[in-house]
Amino acid sequence: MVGKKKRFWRMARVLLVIPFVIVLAPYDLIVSEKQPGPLYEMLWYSVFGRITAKELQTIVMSMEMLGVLFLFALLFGTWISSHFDGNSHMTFTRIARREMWSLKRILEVWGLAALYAAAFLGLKLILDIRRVEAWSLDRRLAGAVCTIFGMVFPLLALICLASNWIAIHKGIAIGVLVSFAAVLVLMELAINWFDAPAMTVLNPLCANLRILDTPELAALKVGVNIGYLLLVTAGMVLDIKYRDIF
Amino acid sequence: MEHVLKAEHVTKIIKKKEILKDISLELRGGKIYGFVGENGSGKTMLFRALSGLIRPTSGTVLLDGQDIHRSHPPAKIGVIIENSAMWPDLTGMENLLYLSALNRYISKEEVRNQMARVGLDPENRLPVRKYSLGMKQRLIVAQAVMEKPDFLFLDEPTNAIDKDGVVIIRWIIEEEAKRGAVVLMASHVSQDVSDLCSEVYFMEEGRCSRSL
Repeated sequence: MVGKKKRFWRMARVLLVIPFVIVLAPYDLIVSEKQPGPLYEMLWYSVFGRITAKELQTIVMSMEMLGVLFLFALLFGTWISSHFDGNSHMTFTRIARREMWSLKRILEVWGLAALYAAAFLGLKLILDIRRVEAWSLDRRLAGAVCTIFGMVFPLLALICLASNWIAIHKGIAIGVLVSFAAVLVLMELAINWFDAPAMTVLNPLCANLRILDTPELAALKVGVNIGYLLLVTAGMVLDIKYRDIF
Repeated sequence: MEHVLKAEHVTKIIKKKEILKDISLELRGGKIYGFVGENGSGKTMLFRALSGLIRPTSGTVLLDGQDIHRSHPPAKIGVIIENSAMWPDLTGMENLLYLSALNRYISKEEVRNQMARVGLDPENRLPVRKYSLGMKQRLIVAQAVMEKPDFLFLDEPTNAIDKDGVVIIRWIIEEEAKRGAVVLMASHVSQDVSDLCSEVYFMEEGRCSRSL
């Protein structure tokens, strides 16, 4: 396989989320006073942020979570679109079944998003365990970890694929700009209609703690996020299959 | 087996403009076909349509009897299209190995030989972004011919290449035709067309006619 080492280091960039999170939230490393918990709730708020005193907490939520999302899109926003530059005809005259090729590339993005989400969530969990008075690996915590992963991983993949898809048509600058703008709009809607049931389920950036109240709601939320991801995946595969390569 | 390229009433319309107009061709292996015409006459678009990069609005392209958009495995095609670029951060050898891995028609050793054939050093560790224009063009020629394609589409293959390099590239093109490939070449260099091509087609405003 060509450039195995180079390819490995390109994928290893998923680990950049670790120093990124540490730099953004150094206070997480300093444990002055332990919190009573529960751990699953602390983890939820440390991943998604908290809306209490509207303006200040809104900024905190936006900055940290958005930064994590945008970093992934910046690192892998050309994973697929880079094949559509001046080298596109050399690749696509060698491939009879573009749909298989594009599906493979898209599933690579899925894999990278899963790794990135796992690294991010793993770090957050370790930092929060240090801050909580007592914790145990119970069903509630396991459920929260699975739900958070099920929400974050498709979201990362969605933003990255959207960036790539738009970049194929309009260039990387537009791809990044439009996908970031869409994230900001969704984030604003999530903040302003935080408690609306439809917003809780349908907006991938709405992280209301009520999602953890029942397994059914958590499963629905994860299912909707994965549904969006499957839709974008299908759209991209068909677009690449039938588009003219210039 | 003699390779045959057939284009049947190929038309391409983009944004309501007819870029290719009802083009029909039958081209056979063992020959080099020249395509000449002004800028914007449709040469490059025709090559894109014949190599399967774009779908005609109407008409079909058959390579050895198979519709190019339906055949699996793919016909062996080599292409040089205007504004070609390799992956800038990979070396020349890495670029060729990546492309050869898509179908695994040839070994790493053969890739190395093909790179040397166009006058480039396979051991050169420079990334392609540091190559001269002539080196980049030689590498692009190497990727087009390395898998011994049955159909070769060459759009300005000697562009930016020095005199010695032109001799090598012309020799390679002749070798490919002798091997039995169907070779199509678009060039503004009249010497290339007159010396290499056994038949010449003239493109004008999307139409193609055989030059007498």
